[in-house]
Amino acid sequence: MTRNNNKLDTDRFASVLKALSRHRMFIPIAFLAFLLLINVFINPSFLRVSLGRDSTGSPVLIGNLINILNNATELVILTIGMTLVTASSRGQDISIGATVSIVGGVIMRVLCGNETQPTQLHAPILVALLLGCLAGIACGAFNGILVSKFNIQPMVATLILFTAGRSIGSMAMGGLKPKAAASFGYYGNFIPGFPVPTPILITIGAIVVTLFALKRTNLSLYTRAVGINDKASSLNGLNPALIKFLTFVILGLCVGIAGFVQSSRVQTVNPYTIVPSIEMDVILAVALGGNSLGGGKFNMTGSIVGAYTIQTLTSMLTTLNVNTNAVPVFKAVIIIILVAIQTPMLKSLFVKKVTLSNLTAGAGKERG
Amino acid sequence: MKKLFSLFLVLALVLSLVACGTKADTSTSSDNTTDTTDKAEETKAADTADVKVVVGVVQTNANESDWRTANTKSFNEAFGDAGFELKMVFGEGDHAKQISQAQQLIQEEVDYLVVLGLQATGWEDVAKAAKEAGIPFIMADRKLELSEDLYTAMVCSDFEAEGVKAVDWLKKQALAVNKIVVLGGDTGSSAQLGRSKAMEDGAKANGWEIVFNQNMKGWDETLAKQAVADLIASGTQFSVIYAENDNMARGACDAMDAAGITYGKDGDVKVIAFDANKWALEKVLAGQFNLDVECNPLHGPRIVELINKLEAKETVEKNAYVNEEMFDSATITKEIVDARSY
Amino acid sequence: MQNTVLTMQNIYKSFPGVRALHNVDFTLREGEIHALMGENGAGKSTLIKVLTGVYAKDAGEIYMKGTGKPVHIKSPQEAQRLGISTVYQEITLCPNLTVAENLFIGRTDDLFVDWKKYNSRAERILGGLKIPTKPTKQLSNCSIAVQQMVAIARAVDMDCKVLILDEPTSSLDEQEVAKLFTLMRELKGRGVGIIFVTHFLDQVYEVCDKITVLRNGELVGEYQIKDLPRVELVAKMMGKELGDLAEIHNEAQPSIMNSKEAIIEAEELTSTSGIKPFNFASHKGEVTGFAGLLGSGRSECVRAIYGADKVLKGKLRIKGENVNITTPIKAMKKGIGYLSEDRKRDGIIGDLSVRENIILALQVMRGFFRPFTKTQAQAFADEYISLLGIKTASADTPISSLSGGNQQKVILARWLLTHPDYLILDEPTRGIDIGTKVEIQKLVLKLASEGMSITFISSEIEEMLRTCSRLIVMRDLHVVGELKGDDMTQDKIMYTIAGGSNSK
Repeated sequence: MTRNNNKLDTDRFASVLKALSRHRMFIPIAFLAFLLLINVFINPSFLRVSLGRDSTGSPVLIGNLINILNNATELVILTIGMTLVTASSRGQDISIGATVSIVGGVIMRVLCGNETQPTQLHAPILVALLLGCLAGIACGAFNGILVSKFNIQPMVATLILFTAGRSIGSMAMGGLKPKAAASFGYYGNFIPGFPVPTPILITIGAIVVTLFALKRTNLSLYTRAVGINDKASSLNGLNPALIKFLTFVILGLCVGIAGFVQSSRVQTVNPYTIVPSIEMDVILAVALGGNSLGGGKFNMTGSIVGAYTIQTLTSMLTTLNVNTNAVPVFKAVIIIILVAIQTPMLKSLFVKKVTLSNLTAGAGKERG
Repeated sequence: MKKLFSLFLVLALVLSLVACGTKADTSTSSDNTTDTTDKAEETKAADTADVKVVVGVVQTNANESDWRTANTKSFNEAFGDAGFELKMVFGEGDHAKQISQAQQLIQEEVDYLVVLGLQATGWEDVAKAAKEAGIPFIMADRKLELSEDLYTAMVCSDFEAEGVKAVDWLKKQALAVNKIVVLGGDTGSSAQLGRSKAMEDGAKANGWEIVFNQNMKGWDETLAKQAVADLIASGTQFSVIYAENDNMARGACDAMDAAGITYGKDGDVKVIAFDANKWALEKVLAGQFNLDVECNPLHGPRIVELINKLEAKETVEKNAYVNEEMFDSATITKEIVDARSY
Repeated sequence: MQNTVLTMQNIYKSFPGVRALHNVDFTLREGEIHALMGENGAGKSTLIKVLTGVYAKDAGEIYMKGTGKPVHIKSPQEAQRLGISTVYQEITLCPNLTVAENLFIGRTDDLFVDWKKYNSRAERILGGLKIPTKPTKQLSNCSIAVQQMVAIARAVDMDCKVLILDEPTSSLDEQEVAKLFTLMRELKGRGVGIIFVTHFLDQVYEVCDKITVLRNGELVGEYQIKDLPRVELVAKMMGKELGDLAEIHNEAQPSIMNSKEAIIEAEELTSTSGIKPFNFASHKGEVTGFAGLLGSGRSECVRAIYGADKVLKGKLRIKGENVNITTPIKAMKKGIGYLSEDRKRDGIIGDLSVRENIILALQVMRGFFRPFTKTQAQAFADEYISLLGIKTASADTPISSLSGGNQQKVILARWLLTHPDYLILDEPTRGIDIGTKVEIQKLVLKLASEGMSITFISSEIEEMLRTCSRLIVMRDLHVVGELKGDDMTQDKIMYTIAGGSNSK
């Protein structure tokens, strides 16, 4: 009897595993969990979060998890926009690092004017945020027009701002390297007295707004329809060009918010080095989330999990003090594994294996 | 038709951007280039002394840091005073771009070529081409990996010597624990290589422990801050921050502030920075940084002097390093900070 | 049995949850044109894919002439080596290559290719088959029909013993079909065995020697063409008794309502597609049709009405009111629905679920900020899945995994859900099984009887004769005539198309 029950349990386990492995969120979440596990294995206190006090005596949360959640902010926000752009336009925007630089430049200019060490802000932070977002949206709209109206491939269209963006950012700052007053730092660090880093709150806000928008509007349906078949979409009354344009504008808004958080972190912006190579991390996050970079269907939650996975990886390479020269190699190897395992070939191999073990379990039961 | 139009649009945009870029880059120096050459040709026969010495300068980035801004300014001012014509171009972080810019300047037959390389390697062909064209090749700021016959002179910072100064200082502090966090600059730049090497050698010689040693892309303040925050969160103990520029030191301090770790003159962690910008010296004065090793950006006057000597056919010292000081929070005075111009 | 070229015995094949082939036998002789018939999902495509090595069979044996032992075909390349060539329903050539490149790609042994040589070889092949194109022309610039013929030419040129034609005629007009049949008979004379898969009964009776009928993955039987009258064939394919087809014809007559209420009136309408200005009206409860050869402008007319092509000139009135339709969404809001001609390219949104495909048009009309809740959408989907009998695992299944007929029903559901006053059905029966064709025709008549105004376009004139109460006849982008009542016969249509009644 017990033996039989065991068999039944294995059977049930196998089928649950099979169902799980088929779920679209399985691989993104499995990898995040896998990376976290490695971290815990190396450093048992990895997951610990403690309440400390900063130098002014305000309470702050300290811990690797908090750092990952905090530092992933720009990545997550940009990934949200990139997921939509990828789905609708079947391509990626590679200019986001450069446009973050433009946004950062605009924000610094607004807050600091022509001073290098201003003791107070030259404009309300809200104005800086709005103008920054506007700059981001303008860049997104520029890319969007090239892609949707003139049918230029997204990567080629965004190559323009990719090339010129950081110089534009530098020009926006008037060639200065100002550091804004400390109160601007609340948005990239802590609000005095509140222990959770502000970027985490901003990320939560961004995710909530995104999920709400996906639920309460037809953004998801329209984006996917246009990405899968724009001819059919247009015959069903959609305007594919407008929807592609819209996704680029949304990405532009994401760039605006990410640029705001990033420039608030140290209250200064170096247009040439701000968020180095972030476009690659963002595109990778979209891919890790189980999205096809060829557009069409998308999985927003997957993308967000993908972004956190990459931040975990980055943080892990820091805390492990991996030799600088080996860091890119490490990253590349892990990425190869992550991406390879998501290819249909290996996926089907995996499913087959589970199915096989399921079958043998079933056969055992029959005999018993 | 649509395609043609879009192509036109893109071209127009790119061209206008390029145009803007060039204008911004050279406006300070060459607003009247054509003017001068025309005039020069007219008066050539009458008076050759009127012909200006044309110096091509391959600079790194326009707004990389306050240090770089001071550096660029020094060129502009010194060359202007000396009556040289300055053609300055910016690599904007792109090593290959710098090389092609240098080749372009050789084509334009400048009288002297000054190179501030983003990367230490890969300059042989440019130096050879300059030599063949009879253009003296002068290295500035960062020493490039070239054999001695390929360059005329150099006005460089000795980055390893800078690092050694910091190491010697640290040795004198005789700390109970020496657990060092090295925040390196852009991988492969001569400043990073020299400063990192000095600390790595120093740690080996003195039995210090380097608990972290990674390079931050673009000498980035945010990356340095996040790296130090990660170290704190994962419980890594450290007693010295060795940041290879002022910005990364500031980022590290931000991270320690956020975790309530004390640093500086009266704190648990010693902070060593490089470059010694004015704002950084203020931090030294305030006791936030313990030590800031100078990296002198005022190359302009030295190069003017060098070129004048070469024009007068005098011999010059081939491997001259810039004099560089260091500023200790124990000895710095307000006068020193106030005297700082950048 | 000596001249048997191919024998397949006791073939089994199943996919997760589907029994695609169950104990199927198939025999092909030299110089025989053998029709493989069955509704969608009968197993025709699977049988062919097993034969061509695309799928591995679960059990059974395949013998080829000259090999005593069973052959194991593991890949399409291997099938080709054995002399089995296939031309699929969807063109599987490379549209960005030239005709000659398409003819020879993957078949050249030389390391360096002398394209001059191959171009002249291609010219001979094309000339021999009277295919009106040049070897150096890019394939995507050729019409679908020519592309299809190039695919056949490629297969024919590979010295095949068994030629499989999987619905080759669905995109061809009658002259081209005739040309293809000439070619098939020629090949038959050379001793090639041809497996011919088609939905067109006429074509089967015109060109085939034998018929094998499959239903639900099982063999129904093999018949000599002369022993099997059409009605019986249809009955065998559908697994039903006779009568369904006749029934339709009877229903058609009473549905003609002589309503005077015009739903839609077009006056001298013309669009960027090159259609000549035309007049057209459709009334409440009326089924109109556009008849004509391939490329005569049938689709272009309805696309102009719907705003799918940019309208250049002309007036459009809906229920007497002048309207200016520039985009599909405006047409939709005025109560027009349009089921497009090319289901795969312009109809389905492949990776979206059946549910999302059904609600799409209504959702777009409702607006960006007012999405249906999942419950509402599911209710719509369920309603139409059962109303139209759509065979799908669930409403969440991607539409691309449905059979052609069911995909078409989903698109039909999409438009019915918008409750249009005027519904355009452009080739709704193309490439789908007979059962679904009949269902769609019945549905059209039912909708008309309920007061909807419908335009029904089909390449099968018989379908239109059964369904429509008025036919607009077209030739070379002109409207050349209008037929109704007793004038609506096949002969009259042919006569009109041929230009007997109109000399303009």
